[in-house]
Parts: sequence; structure tokens; C-alpha cells
Amino acid sequence: MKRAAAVLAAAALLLTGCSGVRLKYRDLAKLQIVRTLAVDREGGGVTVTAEAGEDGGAKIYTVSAASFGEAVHLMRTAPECGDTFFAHTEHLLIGEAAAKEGIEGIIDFVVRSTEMRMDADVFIVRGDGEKVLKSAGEGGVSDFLSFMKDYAAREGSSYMTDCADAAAEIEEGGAFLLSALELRRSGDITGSEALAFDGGLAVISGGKLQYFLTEEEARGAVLIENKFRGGVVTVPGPGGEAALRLTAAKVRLNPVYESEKLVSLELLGEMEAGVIQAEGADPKDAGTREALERAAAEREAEAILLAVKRAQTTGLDFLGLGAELYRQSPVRFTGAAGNWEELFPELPITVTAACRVARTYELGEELK
Amino acid sequence: MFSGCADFAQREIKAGELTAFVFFIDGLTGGETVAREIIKPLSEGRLLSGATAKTAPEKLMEGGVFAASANLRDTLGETLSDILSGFCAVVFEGSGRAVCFEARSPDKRSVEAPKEEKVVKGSKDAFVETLRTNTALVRRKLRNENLKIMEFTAGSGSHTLIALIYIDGFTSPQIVAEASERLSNMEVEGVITAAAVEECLADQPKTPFPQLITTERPDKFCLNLLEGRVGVIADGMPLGYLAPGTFAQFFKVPEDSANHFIVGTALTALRCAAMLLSLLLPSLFAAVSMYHQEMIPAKLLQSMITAKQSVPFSSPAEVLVMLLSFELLQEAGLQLPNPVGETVSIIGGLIVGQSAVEARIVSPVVVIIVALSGVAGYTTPDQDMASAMRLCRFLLVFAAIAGGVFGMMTGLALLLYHLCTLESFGVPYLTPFVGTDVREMLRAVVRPPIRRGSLREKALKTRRRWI
Repeated sequence: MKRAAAVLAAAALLLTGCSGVRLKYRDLAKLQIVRTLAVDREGGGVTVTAEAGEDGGAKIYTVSAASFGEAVHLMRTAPECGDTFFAHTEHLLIGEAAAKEGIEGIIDFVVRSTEMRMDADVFIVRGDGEKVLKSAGEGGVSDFLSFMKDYAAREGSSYMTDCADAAAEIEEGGAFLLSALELRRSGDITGSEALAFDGGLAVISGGKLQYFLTEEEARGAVLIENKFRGGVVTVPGPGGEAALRLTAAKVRLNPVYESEKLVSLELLGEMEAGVIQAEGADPKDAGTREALERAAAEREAEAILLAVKRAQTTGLDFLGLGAELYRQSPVRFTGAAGNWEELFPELPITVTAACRVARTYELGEELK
Repeated sequence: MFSGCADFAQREIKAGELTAFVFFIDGLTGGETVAREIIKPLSEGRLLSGATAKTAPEKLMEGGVFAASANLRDTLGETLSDILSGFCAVVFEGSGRAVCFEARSPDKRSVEAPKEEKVVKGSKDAFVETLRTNTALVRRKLRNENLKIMEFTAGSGSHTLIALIYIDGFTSPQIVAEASERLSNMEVEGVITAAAVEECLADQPKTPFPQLITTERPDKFCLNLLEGRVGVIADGMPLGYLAPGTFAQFFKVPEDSANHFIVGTALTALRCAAMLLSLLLPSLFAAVSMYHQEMIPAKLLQSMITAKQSVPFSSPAEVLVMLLSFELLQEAGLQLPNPVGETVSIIGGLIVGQSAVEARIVSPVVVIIVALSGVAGYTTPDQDMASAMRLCRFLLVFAAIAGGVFGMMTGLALLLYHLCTLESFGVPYLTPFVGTDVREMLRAVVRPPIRRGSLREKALKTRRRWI
């Protein structure tokens, strides 16, 4: 009886679907770990470039095919590429031309792939992705991109979106933002011949690249989406230039409804900062503090306004204002906003910001 | 009878008017004691004045001979058994009866500190080869009139004395009855090795998993008796057996009770984690390095690849060879005398480890995995359980090589199934994990403060649950 039960239980394992999975032995010594994958569109086809290996020994493989899926398949099977292993792909770079053609197919392939991971960060490259990979030489670009992830979050100029989130955004429809990359020539970064560098944010709508935001617009967008993690701003102070480290920022939406109609929208930015440099002025002085707070608030309000204006002029709510207002009050917003896509470009939007200097980082300062 | 037995001694003496024969086994019985305590009083003649051959045995039993223990025997079989147990038999010509006096030789190993089970904070005594000394060690720790010691003779060729020890009122009568029946029905030629007792008492002797807890420490023995287990001690073996032996019990040591309860709990948890590590790490490595490389973090995978590129063998071959080498070293260390064994371990470790890596025969990561697994295995206090785990480790590696993590998990499921089928004296082997009582399960790892008292395991069906 026990044996029969055991055999039945073992047979039930077949129902898990595991029996259908064919295990493929892969020799560890032959694996080429792909860390960064770039997709470009050339003519009617797709070029996929992969960076495999580690620092100091990074190898670049390039394969062209009619589609992204076919190119990846070729890369897996081509003898010159070795046993390319995509499970540790950390970065997916999509070239400008390919992004303009549409990123949906690329993201969809990655998300559905049994080997690739959905947490690979997506970048839209200003230009060709292949050039970014080839710019770093043997050192590889992967570690630099990983560093950029932290850098962008620290500076508040961008944020990362992985393949899973990008797929969800595409599925939801509407406009959204993806991190952008720009290849800058030598001289920009000391010690590097040419490097990929933070390029702000790219606006995607309908699964296609629409345009890139400027640096200030990107800063404003990060603030509005409440994804700001910190950053330094330089503002004019009473005695010269002053630098403030923004430690926290939050933007609240204040919709104005009249007669069940959405007539205007107010964006209220609240920031907290610390003075890290104030030339020719005493940061402990109340007047100086007030002036610095005002200057920082104006600077950030301007960035927010720039992002809003760009969104309104292009009619793409990539800031997710409509979605946020819906979350605040679903029934009221649905009734009052009518067709949001039509209302949004015309909606009067005002921006106000306030900043509070909490610290001066001077010795002996009392912590608040 | 006893022809050709050079150690069998017999002497004819005159006890007054009577002729007496003294029989004993030289070595088992102390010759000096026989001469001083038995032959001398008998030879002086006053002791048996007026006695006949028929009445002399009774008179001797009344006193006169300075032996603490004496048996009046009517049969040859009983007399022989006594003689073989170290007694000295006195037979009067024409009486047809024998008086057996206890005069065991004092030559025996003295009680020493345990050698196999380390003691940090506990009593430094260990069982010896003499049954009576061992029962005395137990008595000394449990001065309880309810501590019962039943004796059995087992082994058709060895006639070994075996004691069944339990605390009446604590231990379940069913377990006592079952143990008693098994000891009575032991069908072996000789009870010379530890396995003879284990295999005769175990429910399923074919499984490599131990079903009796063995210990050389009387304190551990007594702690388990207090918890409601039965103990078995065989003459000639410096070990105590405890039943029922459940899986969780093999990961406990008396130090858990000796330490602070938080430390004791942490150490038990550590041993459990180490057991899992020892069992699963090599197979998990084999599965992951062969089929599921995506499970390895990118940086680690890259360094593994770099190291592997100069090694000519495949990952499974490396793991198997290293595991075998580890076992070889361990076996060689055990078989050789202590100082040589240690040297072999050190030299072997260096050759297999460092030299093999330097010669690029194995990857450093495989050496680390096998060494970590081996070291983790050493934390298992019971050597029989550790050996069973080592065997399972190999089987799981084969399963992982054949089917990756799926194969490994199948192997693990089969192992779990096997453990679920085991019982020890009617108690499920995986007690308390197979029950529904979460607090019982926690108690397998968590040691509560002694002041709060603790519960005996429900599965042991003890009469009193609170300790």
C-alpha cells in the first residue's frame, strides 16, 4: 500500500511540468556571460551586440539578422560567439533608431525568454548602442553602467527602469519614461577616451521613442514622479555661488475642481536641503538661509515647470499626472476630466515650491 | 567440560572432614581473592565443623566466607554461567550442589574522560567495558529507587550480559516491554561489536540511519533516561544505547543543557544548518554548475569560469573525485594510529587541496565546497548519523548530476520518504516534525530554560510529561 502510494506520488511529479523541461548541460569553462546587450536597427534588419566577460577581458560579439529574436538565436549558436549565456544580462541598450521603430518586440522577447532576466535595466541610447559597447574597449562598459545606476539615483537626474516595469508600462499604454544614455567624447570625463554617460530620460509612447528630455526637464520629471533620491544644486547666494545638497523632495498634486470639472492643477514641491558650500555668506544667518531656500525652491520649481510644459506641448502625459489624479479620487477625476488626453495640453498648471535648509554641515551645529 | 582451557583453574581442598573442589577462571576471577576470601576460611576447618556434604552448601551460604555475593546452584548450567561471569564455584564431594561466590578480578580499565564525545562543561567520566561499573556510573547520577536494571544474556557463543535500564514511572511500559522482548530474542552468535546490539534492537536494520542513540557519556545516557527512554548497556562495550532514537535526537549533545538556554538553542540550530549544508552543498553545486548557472551571481560565476578554464575535468568529475578524496583521507586518518593519522590528514589535505589547485587539476571553488561540506558534516555529534549523511550526500550528488536541481529535489524527496517510513520502538523517526504540534517541533531545536521545566516528547508516551 505504501509502495503504491509512493509510486503514485512520484508519478504526480510529472504533472508539475518539470518532466517536459530538457536539461541542457553547459560546460562552465565555455560560458560567455553576457552582461550588456545592445540592439540597433540598420536598414531593414537588427544588429545585436553583446558584451561578455569580465573587466579587462570583455569581448564584443555582433550579430545581424532580420529580427531581434533571430539575432539572439544566431548569437547562441554561432561558433565564434562561444556559449553565450544571457541569464546575467544586466543592461539592455536600445539604439535610437531601434527605439523609434518600437521597443515592444524587444522587451516582450526579454520578458518571455526563459534565460534572460526581467530585471535587466533598459537604456535608450542617443545614437547606436553598438558604439557605446565598443567605446569602452577591453575594460567593458557593464561596470560603468552599473555605477551609473547608483549615480543617476544619487544625482536625481534620472532613474532606472527594468524590463519588467517597461513591459508593464507598455501594457498599460500611455507615455512613460526610460533612462537615456549619451556617448560623450574624450575630455568630458577625465581618463577616459570615450564613455557612455547619463543622458537623462527618454519619452516612450505607443511603444516607440518620441523624444529625449533635456537635463533640466529630466530633473523636473524625476521630482514630479517622486523618484528623487538626492542631488546637489548650485544656486546664487547672497555672497556668491552656493551649493545645496537636496536630501528629500516631494511633489504633491492639488487639483482644483469647479462644478465637477477639473479647471486647474497645482503642483506643490517641498524640499529639504543642507548647505554644503556658501561663498561670502554665513549659512547660519537667518537671512542667508532664507535667500538660499528661496533660490533652491525657484530652481526646482523651474525644472518642474519645464517638464510639465514639455509634456503639455507634446500632449504626452509621461509624468503620469492623470494616473496620479485618478488614484487620488477615481470617481471625481473620471467625471471631471472627461477625455484626459484632450484636457491635459490645455489644463492650466501652476508650480510652487518651498525649500527648507535643515543643516549647514558646520562643526558644532546642533542637529535638528 | 573446560578441557583444553588453560585458564580454567580447579583445586581440591580439605574442609574439615569434607572434600571440596574450587573452580574458577583465572583472569576473570581474582586468584588472590579466592585464596584469601574462600580457600583460607574453608581450609581452616572450623567453618564447617559438624557439617555433612549435604548441609555444607547451606552452611556456607549462611556466612563464613567473605564474599559479598553468593549463589546456591543446583544445576550445572547455572554453575557454569556463574563461573564464566567471574564467580568462584565451591562443590563438596557428594553434595550435588555448588556455592558460587563473587570474586571478580579487579583488573579492568578505570573510568576515564570520554574520548569520542568532547566534554566542555560536564562530567568527565565515560563508560568502560565492565557492565557493573557502567551501571554504577548511571546509579551515581540517578539516585532513584525507580531506576530499574534488568539483565539478559545474549549471544549463543559469547553469553554476554546485557542490562536494560529505565526509570519506572517515567518510561512507557510498552517501550520497556518491547525492548525487553527484543533483548530476550536476540539471535546472534556473539555480542562483541556495537553493531550486534544495534542491528538486533533496531526496527529496520537495513537503513543506514541509526535508530539507537549511542553514547559513551553517562550524563547523556541519564538525561535520556529522564526523558523517558530506555537504555541498554552490554558487557564488554564502553557504550550505552538509548531507544527510541529519533532523528532530532542525533543532533543534540549534553552541552546544550549545560550551556545557557539561548546559547544551547543557537548551537543546536547551527548544527541543524550545518547538517543541511553538509548534505546539500555538493549536490547543489553540481546541479547549479552543470545546468542552472543563472542561479549563481554574475561576479561569482565569472570568477568560477575563469578558474575553470584551466581545469581539464568537468564539474561533476571534479566534485566526485574531491568527495572521494575527502573520504579516503578521513578513512586513512581513522585506520592509522593517532599521530600517523593526523600526519596523513595534514599531508593529504595539502596535496589534495593546495597542490591540486596549483596544478590546476581542480578548481578552487570545488575544494572550498567539498571542504565546507566536510567540515559542516563534522558538527553532527553522532558518528552513525554523520556516516549516513555522507552516504546520502553521494547519492544526492549522483541525482544532481543526472537531473540538476530537479534530480536533487527528487532525491531529497525520496530521502524524506525513506525517513518517514522509519520507526524506532513504535515512535516515528521524524518525531516531532511529522506531527501537527508546532511547539513540539520548536522544542526539537529550542532549549527552554531549565527553571521553566520542559515537556517530554509526546511520542515517547511517558507517564509524566513534565520534567
